[in-house]
Amino acid sequence: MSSGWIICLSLVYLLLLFVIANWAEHRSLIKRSLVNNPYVYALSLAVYCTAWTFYGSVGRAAETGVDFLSVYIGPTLVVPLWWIVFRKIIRICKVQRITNIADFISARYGKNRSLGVIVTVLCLLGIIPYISIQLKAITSSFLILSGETTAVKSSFWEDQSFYIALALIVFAILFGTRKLEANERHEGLVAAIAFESLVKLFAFSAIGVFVTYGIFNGFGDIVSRASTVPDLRKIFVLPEAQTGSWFWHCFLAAIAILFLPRQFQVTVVENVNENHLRKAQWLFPLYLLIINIFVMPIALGGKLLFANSNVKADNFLLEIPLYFKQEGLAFLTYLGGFSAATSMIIVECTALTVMFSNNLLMPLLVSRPGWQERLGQSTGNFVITARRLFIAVIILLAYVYYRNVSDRYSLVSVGMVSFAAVAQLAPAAIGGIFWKRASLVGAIGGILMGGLMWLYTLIIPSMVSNGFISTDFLSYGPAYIHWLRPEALFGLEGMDNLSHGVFWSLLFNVSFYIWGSLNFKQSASEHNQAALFVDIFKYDTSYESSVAWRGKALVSDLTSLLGKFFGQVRSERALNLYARRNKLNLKTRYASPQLVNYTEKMLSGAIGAASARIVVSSVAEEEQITVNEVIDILKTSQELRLVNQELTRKSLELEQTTTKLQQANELLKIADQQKDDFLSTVTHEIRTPLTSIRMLSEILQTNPDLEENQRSHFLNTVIKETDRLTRLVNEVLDLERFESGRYLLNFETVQLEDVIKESLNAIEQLAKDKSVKIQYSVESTLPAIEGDRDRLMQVFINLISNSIKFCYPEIGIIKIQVSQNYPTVRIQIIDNGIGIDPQFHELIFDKFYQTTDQSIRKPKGSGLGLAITKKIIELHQGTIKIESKPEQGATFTFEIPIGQTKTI
Amino acid sequence: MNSTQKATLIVLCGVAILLFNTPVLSIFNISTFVGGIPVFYLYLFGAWLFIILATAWVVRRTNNEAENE
Repeated sequence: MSSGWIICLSLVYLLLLFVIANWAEHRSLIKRSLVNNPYVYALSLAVYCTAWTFYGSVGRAAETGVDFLSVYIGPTLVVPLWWIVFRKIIRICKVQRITNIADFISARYGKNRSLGVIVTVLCLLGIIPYISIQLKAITSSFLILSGETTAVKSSFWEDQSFYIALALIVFAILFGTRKLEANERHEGLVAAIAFESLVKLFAFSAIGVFVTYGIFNGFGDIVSRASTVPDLRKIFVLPEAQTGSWFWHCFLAAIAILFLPRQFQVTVVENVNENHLRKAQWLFPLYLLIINIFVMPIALGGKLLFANSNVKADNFLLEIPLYFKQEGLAFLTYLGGFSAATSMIIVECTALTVMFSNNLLMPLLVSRPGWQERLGQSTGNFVITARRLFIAVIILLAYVYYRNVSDRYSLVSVGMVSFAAVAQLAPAAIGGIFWKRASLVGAIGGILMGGLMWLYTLIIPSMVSNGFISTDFLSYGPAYIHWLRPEALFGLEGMDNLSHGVFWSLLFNVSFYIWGSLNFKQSASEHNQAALFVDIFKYDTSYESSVAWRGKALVSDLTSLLGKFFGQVRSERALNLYARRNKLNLKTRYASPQLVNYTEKMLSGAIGAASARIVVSSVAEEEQITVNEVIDILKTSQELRLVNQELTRKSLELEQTTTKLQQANELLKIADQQKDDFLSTVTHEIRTPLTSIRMLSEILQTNPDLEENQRSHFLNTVIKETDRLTRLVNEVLDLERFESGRYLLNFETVQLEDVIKESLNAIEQLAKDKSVKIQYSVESTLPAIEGDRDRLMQVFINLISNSIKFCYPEIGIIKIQVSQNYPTVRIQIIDNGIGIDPQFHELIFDKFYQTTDQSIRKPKGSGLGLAITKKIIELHQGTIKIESKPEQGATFTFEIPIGQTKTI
Repeated sequence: MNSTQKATLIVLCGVAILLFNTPVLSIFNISTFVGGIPVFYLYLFGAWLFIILATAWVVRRTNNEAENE
C-alpha cells in the first residue's frame, strides 16, 4: 500500500472523528446528549486500551506468554470497588469542580500549590514515555504497511514519525482545547473516543478471526501445532519465577486504572451521571476480556508463521495479513492501532494540559497582577493559546523520547514504567478520601520520595542502557557503593526490574505519607477540605453555603473577573442564573459570601482551585480564618445538626407520651365505668337472695304456727339462697383475683380425659334432673397438657352446666368432643338448646351479661360463670369462642396449647 | 446500595485477588490441555468472566437514584 493512500485514509478517519465529535456537541447543546448513556461511558473508559494493548499484547504474549494478561486482569481485581471509590471521587469532583488528578490531590491537602506542581511534574515525567510509545506504534505500523524500512532516520526532516507527531499536535489541539470551559467536560471528545473503542475492538477481532479461523483451524489447531515447538510450549504457563512479577503487574494496573490522567479524565471528569458507573463497572472489564481473547492465537500464529524470519512480535498484527496479501485487513488493523493511539493521545494531552494550566501556568499568571492588567479581556484567549502550545510541547517531548529511548524497548516495558509513576499518586489520593488525618506534609513527602525512588530504580537503568550513564553505575552502584545499585537497592535481588522499582517506590511513598500525616498538624483549610472529602456524602448538599469564607468583594469586581476568563456575556448569564436560583441580589454593592464562593468555584473549574483562590482573593479582602474558626464553623454546623436531631427526637417522644397518656385515660374511664356497672350488678345480685332470705325468715318468725311442710320448704329456700350468695361472693372474689393477676395457676401435667370424666361425675345429677343426655367422645391419642386441674374442671362444669340450663328437658342432647389440633387441644361442647343471637356472642363472656338483656337467655347462675371460664382459658394461653343461632343450639369451642409450661 | 451489597463487593474484590494470585493460581499453572486449549488460559479467562458476571449481578440489584451514605 502506498504511503500516500495511507495518509489520505488516515486523514479521512480523523475527519470522521471530527464529524462525530461535532455531532455529539450539537446534541449536547440541544439537550439530547449522546454521552449521557452508560454504554458510551463504558466504551470511553476503554481508552485504557492503547496501541500498547493493540500491538504490545501480542508482542508480549509471543515473548513471555501469559503475563501480558496481568495488565487487563489487574483492573478487574478492583472493579468491584469502583462503586465505593470512584463514586466518592466523582461526587467530590462535581461538588468542588475539580477537573484533573493534580487538582484533586492538591485540593484535598488544602489547595496547596506546591503539591499540585509536584503531581503535575510527576505525571508529565511518567506520561511522556507513554505517549512516545503511541507515536512509535503509529510510525512503525505506518512504515510496515507502506513497506518502508522501520529503522530510525538520522535526520528528523526525513523521519516520518516527526510529521506524524506534527499531525497529532494539530489533531490534539483541535480536540482538546476548543474553548475554556467551566467544568472541562468535552462531550465531543467522549463520543469520539467511544467510537474509537469500537473501531479498535472490531479491528482486533477481525484480525483475530482471520488468523484463528482463516489461516489455522481454530484455537485447538494453533495450540496443538505450537505445542510441538518446545520454545512455544513454555508460554502456556507462567514460569514459577514470574509469579511475583505477575502480582506486581496486576497491582500496578489496578492502580493505574484509577489514577492515569486519561482514565481520571474519562471516568471522573467526563462522567455525566454517577449511575453510569454501575454498568461500566462490568462492561469495561468485559471489553478488556473480549479484546484479549485473540491475543494468544495471533501471537502463536505469528510465531509459527515467522519461525525462521526476523519479524518483531510487536508487528505480527500487521505482518500476518500482509504475508497473506490481505491489504484491506492490514489497513483495518492499522486503523485499529491508529485509533487506539490517537484516542490515548488526545485524552492524555487534554488531561495533562488542564493539569499544567491549572497548576503551573495560572498560578504564575495570577500571582503577577501586572500581567493580568496587560492581558485584560483576552485572558481567556491567552490561557487557550498557552494550552495549545503546551500540547505541542508534550508531543514533541514524546517524539524526542521516542527517538532516543523508547525505540529500544518493547511497548509494554515503557508503558509499565509510566504506570509505576502514576502509582505514586495512589496513597495520597486513596488516603485522602478515607483518612481525615492525612496531611499535606505526608502527601508531599510520600509523592516526592516515591517519585525519587521511581526515577532512581526505573528511569536511571533505562538511561544507562542508552549510554547516558556508565554501566558501572548499575553494576557497582554510585561511587561504588554496592547497596545503592539502582536495580538491586539495599541488596534486594531476584526481583525483576519493574517489581523491584514499584516495591521500593511505593514502600517509601506510603511510609512517608503515614509518618508525615501522623506527625504534622493540618492547617485550617486543609482541615476543612479533609472533612469535605472524607464525608462528602454528608456535606455535598450544604457545601455551597457552608464554606468558610469571610471576605468583602464588590459585585462588579467579580463580574469582570469572570468576564476575563469566560467572556462578558457568558459570565453575566451564569451569575444571573445563580443569583436567581439562590435568591440573591446582584444589585448590591458588595457580594454575598455565597456569590464570592460561586465565582471561585466557577473559576476553579477553568483554572484550578489554587489559582482561583488567588484570583478571587485579589479582588476580595479576605479575612484570614484561623484553624480554630474553621473547626468552630464545622463544629457549629455539626452541633446544630445534633441539637436539631435531639429536639426532633424529644418532641416525638413527647407526642408519644401524650398519646399513651390519653389511651391510659380512656382505659381508666372504661374501667371506672365497668367497676360502677359491676358494683351495681353485684349489689343487685346480692340483694335478690338477701331479700328473699329476709322475707322468708320474717314469715317464719311472725308465723310460728306454720305447717310443717310449708316451713321446711321455706327453710330449704333460705339455705339455697344462702348457697347462691356464697357462690356469688366466691365467684366475685375469684374473678377479681384473676383480673388483677393475683391468682397464680397451679400448673401440673393434666390428662384432659380425667378432668372431663370428673366434671361429668360432678354434674351428672343436674343433667339427670333435667333429663338431658350427655355424649362424649375423645380422640384416643390425646396428649397430656400443662394446666391447673381444678380450674380446668371449673371450666368444664361451667360450660356444661350452662348448656344444660338452656337445653329443653327430655330432648336435650349435649355432645362433648375433644380432638388434637396441633399445637393445641380443641374441646367443643355442643348443645341443641335455645341458642344465642350472634349479636350477643361477644357479650356473653362479659361479667353479668344477662343484666343488659335479660330476655334472651336468662341464666340461672350468677352471670359470672362465662367470664370466669374465659379468664381461666386465657390464663392457659387458650381461646374460646361460640357459634350459635337462636333455636339452633350453641357450640362452645375452646383451645388450649399442648406444650405450654409458662406459669402465670 | 445497602451495606450488604457493599460488603459483597469488597468480598468479591478479595475473591478476585485470591483467584489471580499464588497459591490458587499455581493450581492451574500446569501444561495440560482441555479440548486442545491450555488449562491455564481456560482458568484465567473463566475466573475473569466469573468476577465480571458476579460484579454485574451484585450491582444489578441496586437502582435507587439518589442514595447517599
